[in-house]
Amino acid sequence: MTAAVAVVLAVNGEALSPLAGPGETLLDILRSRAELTGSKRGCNTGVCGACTVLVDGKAARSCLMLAADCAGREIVTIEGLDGDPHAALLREEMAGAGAVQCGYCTPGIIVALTDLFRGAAGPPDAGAVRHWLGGNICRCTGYVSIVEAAVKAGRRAVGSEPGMPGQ
Amino acid sequence: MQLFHPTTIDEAVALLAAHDEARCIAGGQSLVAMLNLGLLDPPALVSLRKVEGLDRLTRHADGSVAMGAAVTQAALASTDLPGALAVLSEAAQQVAHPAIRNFGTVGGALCHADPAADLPPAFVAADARLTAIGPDGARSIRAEDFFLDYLTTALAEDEILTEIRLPPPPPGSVGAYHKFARVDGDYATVSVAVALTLEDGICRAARVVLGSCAAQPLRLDAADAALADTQLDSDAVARAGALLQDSAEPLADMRGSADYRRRIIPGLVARAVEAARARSEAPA
Repeated sequence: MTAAVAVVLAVNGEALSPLAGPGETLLDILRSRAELTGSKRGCNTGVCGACTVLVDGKAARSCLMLAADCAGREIVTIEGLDGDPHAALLREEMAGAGAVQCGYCTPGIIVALTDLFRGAAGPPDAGAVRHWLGGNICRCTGYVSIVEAAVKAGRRAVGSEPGMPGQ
Repeated sequence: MQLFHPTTIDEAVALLAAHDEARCIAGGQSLVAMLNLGLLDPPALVSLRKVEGLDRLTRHADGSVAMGAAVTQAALASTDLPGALAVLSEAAQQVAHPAIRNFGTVGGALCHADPAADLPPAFVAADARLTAIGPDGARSIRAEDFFLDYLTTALAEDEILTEIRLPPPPPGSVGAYHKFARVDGDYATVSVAVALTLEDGICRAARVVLGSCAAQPLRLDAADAALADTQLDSDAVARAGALLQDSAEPLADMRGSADYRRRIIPGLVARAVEAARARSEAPA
């Protein structure tokens, strides 16, 4: 009774039906069955944020979601944000600011900030970005360039373009 | 391990009763971490995700509030609650990080019963009543009788926390949650949840509850009495803080030694009381 069962998951707009054991997490399935390795396994306990994905449009720890409990939910990984305007600006500004060293935390940070930008009424300031990224650990950069890049991207992304959320 | 998806509470209760050591899972934000760490290996998990109606939060006209156990911490954090019940939203705003609050539930945090967590002391301060449903029907448990020990609640193995009810806050009541943590989003080194009822500058009733200071949220009749019928002058607040300090039995861990935690209790109690009182002076 503990065998893996097929779970229908909507990942980046595609229906997948990977086999998932009852204790397997969404992160396990994304990385090992769906070959979506942009979401990283850091702490595996919800602390580091490297595995952050969007579930039903909201930032989520994929290491803390049971895959079998994700049936019927919309899952978007960093790979699924390829055409996303907020994520594109974040990528550009992070590359420009040198906000990436080893890069392990970067996908989770971009996914988390995409969620922040989507819900923001105006460009988030450095304090808001720092507070939001409290749940994303970077062990290389010391955060300064990450926060600078996020603030710059936010100024361009939030509330300044037609069709973008905001003022 | 088996994973079940019941669609009604009765079905969920029957599953719990039928499987020894089964656990409920709602948002999973603590439970899945424990599974990943190998701290827990239940033979069955009963997911509450498909049970209808558990995520409703209702504010009644008389000021009372009812929230389903699966209301997310993010939903509570963004809800404006009347009077002293503001302590609940303020505590929810300080639980971990946004991604955790998006899926972590109020009921899950209460049932996990981690005395270092933010919601248990806040719900004790607000004098919440927890509805548990089991094979013999429903019963109501006061929040302060719910937390028995570290990670241990008054729920029977086949009972499910379904709803949390908050009595109407009295006129003039104010609440605040003051958390001292080493870094943003961490568990508290010490936290203080306060609910006060003020009348013309006099404190008529107080509930002061500490987090991270004992095996369960710590509230003392004597400390609350030390604040009642005072103007919350510094002597009264210091007396309440000293009483709580004397009764605290905190653990030592990486967030602070037991001695350090005890030492900071009176100062944090004073800050929390002041934060609550300042609300009564703010223009409505």
